[in-house]
Amino acid sequence: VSEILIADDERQVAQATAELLQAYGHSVATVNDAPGILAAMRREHPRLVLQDVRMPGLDLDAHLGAIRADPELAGTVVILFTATMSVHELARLLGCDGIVEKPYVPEELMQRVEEWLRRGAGTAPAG
Amino acid sequence: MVKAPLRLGTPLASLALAVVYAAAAYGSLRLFALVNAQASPVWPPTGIAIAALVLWGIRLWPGVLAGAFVANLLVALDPLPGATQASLATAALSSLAIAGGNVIEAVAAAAIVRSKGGGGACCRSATAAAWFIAAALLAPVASASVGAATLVAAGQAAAAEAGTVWLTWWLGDVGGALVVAPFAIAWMAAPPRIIRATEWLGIQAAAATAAVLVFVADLEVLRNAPLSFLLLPFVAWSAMRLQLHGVAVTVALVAVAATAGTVARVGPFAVLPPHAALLALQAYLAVVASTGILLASTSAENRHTQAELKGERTELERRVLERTLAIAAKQAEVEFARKGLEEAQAMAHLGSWTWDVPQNKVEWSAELCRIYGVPPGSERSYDGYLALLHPDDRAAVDATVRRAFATGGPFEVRHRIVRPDGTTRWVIGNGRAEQDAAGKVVRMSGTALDVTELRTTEERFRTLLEASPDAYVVADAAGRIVLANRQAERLFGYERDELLRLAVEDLVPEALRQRHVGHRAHFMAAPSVRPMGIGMDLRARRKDGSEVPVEISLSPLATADGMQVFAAVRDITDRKRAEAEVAETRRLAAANEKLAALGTLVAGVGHEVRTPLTYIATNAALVRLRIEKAAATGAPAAGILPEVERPLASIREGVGRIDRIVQQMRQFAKAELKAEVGSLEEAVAGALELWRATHRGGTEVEATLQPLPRMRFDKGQVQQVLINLLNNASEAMGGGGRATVRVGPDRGQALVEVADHGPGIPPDVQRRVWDPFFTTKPEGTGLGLSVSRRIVEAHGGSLAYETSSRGTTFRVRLPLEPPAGPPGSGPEGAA
Repeated sequence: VSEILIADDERQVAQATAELLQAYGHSVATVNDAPGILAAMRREHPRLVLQDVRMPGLDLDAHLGAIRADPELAGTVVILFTATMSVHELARLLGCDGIVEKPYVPEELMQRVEEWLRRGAGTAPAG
Repeated sequence: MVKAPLRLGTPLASLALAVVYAAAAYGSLRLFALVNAQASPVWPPTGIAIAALVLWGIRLWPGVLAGAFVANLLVALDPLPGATQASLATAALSSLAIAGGNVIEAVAAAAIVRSKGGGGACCRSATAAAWFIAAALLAPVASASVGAATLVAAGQAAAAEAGTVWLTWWLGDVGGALVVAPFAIAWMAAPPRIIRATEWLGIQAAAATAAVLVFVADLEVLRNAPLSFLLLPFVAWSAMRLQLHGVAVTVALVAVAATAGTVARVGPFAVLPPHAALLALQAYLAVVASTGILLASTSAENRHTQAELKGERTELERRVLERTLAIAAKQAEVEFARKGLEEAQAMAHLGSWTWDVPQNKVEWSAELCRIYGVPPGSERSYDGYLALLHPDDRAAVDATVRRAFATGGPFEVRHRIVRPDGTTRWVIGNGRAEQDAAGKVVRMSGTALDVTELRTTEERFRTLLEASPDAYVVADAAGRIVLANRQAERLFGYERDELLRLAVEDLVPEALRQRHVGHRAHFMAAPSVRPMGIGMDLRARRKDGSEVPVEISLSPLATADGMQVFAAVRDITDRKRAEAEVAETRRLAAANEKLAALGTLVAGVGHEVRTPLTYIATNAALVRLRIEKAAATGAPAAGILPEVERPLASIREGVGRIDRIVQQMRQFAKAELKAEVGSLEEAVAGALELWRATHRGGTEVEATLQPLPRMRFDKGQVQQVLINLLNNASEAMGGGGRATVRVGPDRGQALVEVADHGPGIPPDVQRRVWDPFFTTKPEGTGLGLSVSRRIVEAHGGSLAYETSSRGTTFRVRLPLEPPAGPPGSGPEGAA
């Protein structure tokens, strides 16, 4: 069981981010392929998922819909990584809780993760 | 022949006649027989009998016989007081004899009137009237003679009285015949034609008044005055105005008045003893009646003659009118024909003239006068004609006409005329000289056609021809130029005269002349409107030997001089220049396309670079965190190395990754790179990496890269081709799907294959796939494939595709060069 799940097909990103979060005292699991995300969530029951918006085989809309429709997973905080879209656009489009633009400033990311963990899913507009 | 209105069978008619006759006879004898009971001085029955026999036929004589017999018998058996009573036998015999005399009288008179007096239409002429009067005078001789003789023989009259009896008898019968018969015949035969009733009644009233005044009134001042003549004017007036019908009435009125007065012993005749008075009265009435009858008949004859004359005159007038009309019709026909000719001439603007040489008489038609603007019908002469000609044409026309006059035969002249009002017209004159047997010209005739309108049309056509922006050249079947316009002069640099001496081949570049002759023959064999050498670079040769690009269209012209060809030649130097400009614009657009592609690339690169930047930054933060922790715990620096080794390696890897992306971009962006020796599969791998990095859809690419010899190619351009093909493949699959890239040797060439699993290229799109600027993408430039093909062909290679409903495969083939140096390195995997 991990507190945070990091989903990114870029292993370098996933591993660096995971190690950083662990260094801050969180328990972190990683997944590198899109189909594995939901399985990892059911296995690890993370409170927060940090996920890249673009992964091979990922239909982001359907993916997020599935999370929200699953009573077991619906309470999970889902945070997206993006390198392309305007964060506000994306958040509004998808109804996720927050978006982090890459490349991020590590300290800021840590700060926001703390904040999101405090607030819980569906409680705040995208930041 | 006048038909009797009364139609009875003979016996019945005879009986009716007998009754009337007997009544009249009995009345007369009882009223007027003074000297002898059976001899009355007033005897209407004679008139009745004559009228009946004239009107209905002599066959009615038994009626006369019976009537007379009965009347006489009655008188004889009932004599006047003092007279001897005759025995029945004597009375019967004498009455029969007297009746026989009456019959003879009536039949004789009727026969005369029927044969000579006009019968029922008696007294219509003076001659007929004379015969009637004669009959009226002669026939009673028989009656009087028989009667007097019978009375003497029967002892009813003394022999000494015989003369008196005869006279009395005769006068009575004559009076009765003249007064009654015409009256009866006229009125029974035909009704009167009363035209003016007022006049008719006026005359009768005047006559009646006069008769009453003279014979009956017995006025104190005029008692017994011999004024019987006063009635004559009235009778004459009546006869002249009212004809027989009218005078018959007038005479009857006079007779009634005079008889009544005389019997009453008043009036002019009353001075005489009663019997003598009656005789005088009879004589008077006979004269009055005869006068009336004669005058009426004369008047009738006059009228008839007048009517006849009038009829003849009418007939004559009719004939004159007929002839006049016939002549007028003939004239109208001639006039119509003349008018028709005039109208035809007017419509055709064709005037005509004739010159009678011996009489020196010149005639112009109305239209000719109109054409020349001179008043029609005016005197014309040859000199006057010459004066109307345009001064510049006068001598030539004069010469032509004189020549025709001298030699005979036809002539034609085209010339201008100047009308008296100053306007100029164009005329074609045709003429003919006719010679007599001796060869002398006796008559000249001709026509003049106003062709001004035609000339105007022709001039308009010429203006149009000259004003055209295209050069027009018309050549005959042999290639000789027969017409050229001003533009042709300008285009080819020849004067018009020079052009008209040339053949069309002179306007064709020398190298093509021989072939052009064949083209011309071909056109003449199958003439049709056609553009010439579409898509070919046609050039025209100018006089100075220079050539200009032209476009030519040809039309056949069927003319009186045979088949000709009409060529419209357009100088397209300017258009060629414009086309070159368009080509340059397209070239620039292609360069822009490259810039646009670069722009897309840069945007994509931005994203791709962010990923390594992300984990570089994250790893850097991690390294710092761990060092800070170690420092806080006071652990030795060497002890921290294993903990930061992985993040540091990751940082190095990220930096390397960024560097590669930048390298590829530089290669792609380098414009007009020269070909260099290199590895094609490496270049393809780089392009794939670049494409993956920049691709925004979900298309995955599976690549199979087989080793190839090193070869010369422009890496950037070839990579651009590959990226273009991959973009198309992704597009064909809706931005997703899986594309396959294969690189390897194939039949001595390098083959790069890009395949998709889309629905294939639709047939209508296939035709245009290579067209520059053709695109099916909303935001595409349409240059991708055309630029790619140009790039491939510039390498000496080819770009082709194969498409079906299961997908499309593009194949780039590039020539393999013999290795120019050390063999290439082995294949490098790429993902």
